[in-house]
Amino acid sequence: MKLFFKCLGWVGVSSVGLAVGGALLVLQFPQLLVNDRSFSLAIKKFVPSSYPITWSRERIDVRSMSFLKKEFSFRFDRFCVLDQADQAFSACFDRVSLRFVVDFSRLIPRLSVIGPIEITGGDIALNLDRLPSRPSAGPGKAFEMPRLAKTVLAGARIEEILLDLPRLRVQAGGKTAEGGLRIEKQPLKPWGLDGSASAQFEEGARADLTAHFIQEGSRASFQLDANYRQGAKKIAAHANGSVGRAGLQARFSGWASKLDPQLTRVDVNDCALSVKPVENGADYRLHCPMRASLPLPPPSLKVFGIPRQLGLVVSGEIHSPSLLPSMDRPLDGNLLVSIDPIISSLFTGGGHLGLRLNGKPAEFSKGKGAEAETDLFLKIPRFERIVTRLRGTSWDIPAPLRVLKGSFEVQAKGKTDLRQGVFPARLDTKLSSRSQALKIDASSVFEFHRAGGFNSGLDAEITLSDVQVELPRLDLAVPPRLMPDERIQAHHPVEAKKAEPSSFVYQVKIKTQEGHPLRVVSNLAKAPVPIDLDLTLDRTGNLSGPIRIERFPVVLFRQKATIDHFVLTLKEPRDASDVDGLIKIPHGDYTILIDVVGTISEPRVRVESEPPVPTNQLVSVLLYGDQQENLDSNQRASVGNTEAAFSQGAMGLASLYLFASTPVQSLLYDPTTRSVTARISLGGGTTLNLSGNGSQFQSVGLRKRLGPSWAVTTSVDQSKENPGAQIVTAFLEWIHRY
Amino acid sequence: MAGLFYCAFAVARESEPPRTVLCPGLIVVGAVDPGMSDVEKRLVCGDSKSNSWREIPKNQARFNLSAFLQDRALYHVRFRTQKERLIVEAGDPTYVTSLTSEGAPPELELYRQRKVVGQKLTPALLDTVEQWTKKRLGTLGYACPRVKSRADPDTGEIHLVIESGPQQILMEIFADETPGINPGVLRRYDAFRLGRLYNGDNLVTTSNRVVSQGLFDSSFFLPSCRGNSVSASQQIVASPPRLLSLGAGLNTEELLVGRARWTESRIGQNASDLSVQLYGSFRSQQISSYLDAYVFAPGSRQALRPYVSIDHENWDAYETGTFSTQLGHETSWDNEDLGFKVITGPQLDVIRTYRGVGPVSSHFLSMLSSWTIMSHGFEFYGDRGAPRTGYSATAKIALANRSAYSSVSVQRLSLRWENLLNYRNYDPPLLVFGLRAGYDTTITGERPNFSNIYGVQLPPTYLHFLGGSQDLRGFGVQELPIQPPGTTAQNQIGSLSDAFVSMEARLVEVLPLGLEPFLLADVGVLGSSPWNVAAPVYWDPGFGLRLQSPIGVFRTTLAHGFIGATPDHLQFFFSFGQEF
Repeated sequence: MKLFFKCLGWVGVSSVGLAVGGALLVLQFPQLLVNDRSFSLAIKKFVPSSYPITWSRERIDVRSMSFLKKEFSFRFDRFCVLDQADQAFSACFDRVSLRFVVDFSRLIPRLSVIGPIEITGGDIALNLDRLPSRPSAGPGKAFEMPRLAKTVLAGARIEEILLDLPRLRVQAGGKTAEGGLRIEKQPLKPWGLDGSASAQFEEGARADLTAHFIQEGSRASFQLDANYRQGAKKIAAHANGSVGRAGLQARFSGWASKLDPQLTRVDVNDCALSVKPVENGADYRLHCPMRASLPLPPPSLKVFGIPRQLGLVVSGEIHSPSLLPSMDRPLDGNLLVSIDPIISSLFTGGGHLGLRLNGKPAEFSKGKGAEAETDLFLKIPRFERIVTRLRGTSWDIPAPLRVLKGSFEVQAKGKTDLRQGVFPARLDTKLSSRSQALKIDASSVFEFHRAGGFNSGLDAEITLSDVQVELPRLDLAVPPRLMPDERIQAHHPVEAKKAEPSSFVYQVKIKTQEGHPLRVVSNLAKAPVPIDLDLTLDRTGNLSGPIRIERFPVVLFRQKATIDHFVLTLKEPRDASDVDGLIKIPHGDYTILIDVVGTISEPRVRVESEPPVPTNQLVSVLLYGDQQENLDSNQRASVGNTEAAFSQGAMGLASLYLFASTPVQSLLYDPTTRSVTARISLGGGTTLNLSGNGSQFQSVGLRKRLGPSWAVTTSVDQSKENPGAQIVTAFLEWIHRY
Repeated sequence: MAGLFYCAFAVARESEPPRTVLCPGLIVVGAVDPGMSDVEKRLVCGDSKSNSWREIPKNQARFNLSAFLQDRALYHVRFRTQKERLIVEAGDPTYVTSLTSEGAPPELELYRQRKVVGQKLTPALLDTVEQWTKKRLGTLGYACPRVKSRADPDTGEIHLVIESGPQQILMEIFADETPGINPGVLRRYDAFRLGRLYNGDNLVTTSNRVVSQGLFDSSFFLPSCRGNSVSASQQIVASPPRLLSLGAGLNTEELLVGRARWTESRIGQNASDLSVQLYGSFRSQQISSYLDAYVFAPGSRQALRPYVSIDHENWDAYETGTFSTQLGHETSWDNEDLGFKVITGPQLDVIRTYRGVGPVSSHFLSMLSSWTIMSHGFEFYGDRGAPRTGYSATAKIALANRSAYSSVSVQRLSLRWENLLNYRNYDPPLLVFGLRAGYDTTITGERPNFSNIYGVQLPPTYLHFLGGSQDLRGFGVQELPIQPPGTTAQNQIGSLSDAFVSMEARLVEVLPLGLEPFLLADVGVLGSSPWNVAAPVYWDPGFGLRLQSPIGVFRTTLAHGFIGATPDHLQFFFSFGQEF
């Protein structure tokens, strides 16, 4: 046993001695270990056969600078590496030469000098789609150097480096990018990097990039130029700046053309970006003036003098918790887009849009962490210029608005988030003319939200604070047709497609200000008619709500009257809108009350009085200003016909007003057709057709009245010549009742 | 050469479409003057008297014009600008090509509506079509229909959407209370029965009866629908109870005809009425008076009708003076289709013959009964002065016996029937056929003949003559029977029986100016014995013209009489106020 351990001891000592001796020998003569042959054997041994590394000529030199400091030089001509398995990459270099000095004076050898390194004539092809996926190194560890490498490289002096890759091709996602790269570092000179790249995409798109970096002390300055072209779309950008431990300072300029049909060109000039690392992340600052060129307006809109260019300034300050913003880490800051004032001969405009960020970018689309604010305005200082400019065009302002003068302004101001937004807007008009006024305060809220698809809506309230409108001069006759008859429309053989339900809903309220009714001026009324409105226009285009004529004096039936109230409540269908009115006419010892109820198409009139008087008498007084007993037969018949027409709502509202405003000689009414024809005393015995439906009165029945006391009376009588025979006879008669 | 050039120029001008300058900046081309009203012109050309409407921009003028020209059936209007002027090419008017409906009950028979297809398609025409349809449905029992029309300006089609609702029963009438009159009085004039199908025309007929009786100046019904039933409110305009009227008519038989009438209606709580009438013409004069005494229940249609009259008639054949008095019992009955009236009672006639064959003086106490049936259509359109449809029939019997204060025992029978037929029931009518027939006979033992004219005990008014506008229009009034040669005005003899048929076919609303031509043909026979008629046959073809004027109807006929195969003479007739 002792012998065994003794032998073992001698073997051990011998081994150690041999190892130490060997190490010392290698140290003294490193070329014994590192040489051409050993390198080739190492490549064959340690590099998988699927990644063959080849070279045409090699030269490996090892020089001992001292016992513990050795210089290694490697030089390869036509050095190539291939990925035979996945064909994910191939790289060939005309020359690869590498020199480094290793210092073995420490337990872990260190590199004291690196360089010259020369890799030139590179031809690299990389297909990212074929790269095998590698397990993630874990968050934050993707780019972390191994500690051993840090130890080995610590303190190394880097001498000349030249990396010249004239042909660099990268494929990913079916797209190919080609370029070149040159990195150069001279001793005692700053790092320099010149790179260029170009990429060819499908659909003929092409992008080019040149980059130039120079190390200047603790900072590096750079200059980038990029171009992109796809058909008519073009982008050109230039950036220069510096980056270092203190952060990034950059200035951008460039232009883009025809990226969007609504934007002809966008120019960015002297856009400044700074990124400053701070203790808890980085602060970003941006100030970017832009100019957008708008497309030519259609010929019909040219008259508005819309400017061709729009000036904007995008600026902002954002804090990121990390140097590079991440979708999952909150940002905090502001972005502002300011619109340069737009000034044309017709209008001025401007404003800004702001974005307040306080959350994670990944949640912005959910409405969290991003809030936008707008403040835009458009002002037309002189409406009359608009009228003049639009004269003769398809936008010509119609009468009676075209005589108005003054200004109006639209302002949109509000907050929104990216998921749902609210935009309040205001419209103020101050227009007037000799006999009209149009002062409107309108406020509206435009809302949108994206839950379940994009939906939007408008809720507007228009207050007519001072409006007076002049109607055209009308005659005491049936009014002209102002709108095409809805019953007469061209027939389309194919039913129009049902429109898909719109996601845009709107509601507009139109109302007058309390105490300031809308006033309608007409030659048929002695004074402006005061009207209160409280109408609502909904998404279906239906207008509903009350139109109220306020209490005001009027002349009806040639007597002074007062409209106590008259309310027209609009609804659909329009003919079904309700009417409720009361007119008071003082007459001697009593007051005649004319009550109008029913609908627009069939307003029924009740004539009563306080104290009560028979309706016949009241109608008689209204029509002829006299008691019924004093009327002739024709007039009494007219009274009866008028009562019937009133009761059945045979006259529309306009006809009722005409009827009440004209001196009536006689009125004929056919209850079966509800046709009303009035003979009025306006010279020539003018006949008016007052039927709401416009039908002509066909015949007059038993007695055709020709005048106050004359009529043609038709009857079926006994024949004088043939007693027993019934014949139809007519007599021209003078009639008197008493 | 100049002439050729001028002709070419004139032709060229003629072929240019007409141009109407509405105002300096607006010209309408291609249509006859659209006849714009002053208001329409202002809304298109501007109003120099209104600051706000002084200038109308062209786009606004276009919009307004498009609406205005609709009223002229112009829907394919094109606008163009030429040297700052707006040229309006009016295009051709659209005419109606068809009239269809949906939802209509089968009995509506839309084809009846004339003067729609072929007319200009205007909003007013649509109103007329809607109103006609509602009215027509009202006569079929649909009291509250809804009718909406729509039309295609490209094709000219009119389509009606009809919601007729159920046919409705007229259940109740609410009448205004009239002071001094029992409620229910007005119901005796009803041309309908409650609980039967509603018919709007019958309500109008009822109103006409009330007015023609002189009861009130105006009466109308306001229907109100509720489910399957209708109730109507009767509104009346009370007037002073006494009516005095003086009227005139004329015709070639009696020349100028005058009538004076005094009526007091609303006598007593049951609204009895008393009437006195003077009637006069060149041929006959009459003073008459009657009292409709409603002495029974307020709504009862029964009345006692005392009547008295004094007549003087002076025809070619005779001249008589007659005093008549009757105490009749009158009643009537109506349903939704027809009315029926009966008057029965004793009548005393005292007749003096001043000229003609017959006793100088005679008297007859007869039991007279008169039965009249008349369709509501006949009455309705007759009241409107536009007879077109319906029928009327009357039967009169008078029985007198010598033993009962009568000069001679004699029974008289008179039948009349008239029927108007509207071809395909068009409205307005296209062709109205009229048929009138009559039969009279005097049953007596007397046999007036020329060999014993002085022995005739019957007064000439109890004999029968034909000729005149009421029967044979190819002969003069009471010209038939033809008297033997040598007969004088003193000894013309009538016949004991007669029968006739008159026919007429009238073209309505085709010619302009309201002219309605018609063809006529009449045929009649006479008989010298009771019940029997014998040859010769008298007949006459002819034609006439009816004119519906604003003051009444004018009729004229020209017919040629024939006796058997022998032509007789032309006969002209003219009247104002008389119908077929």
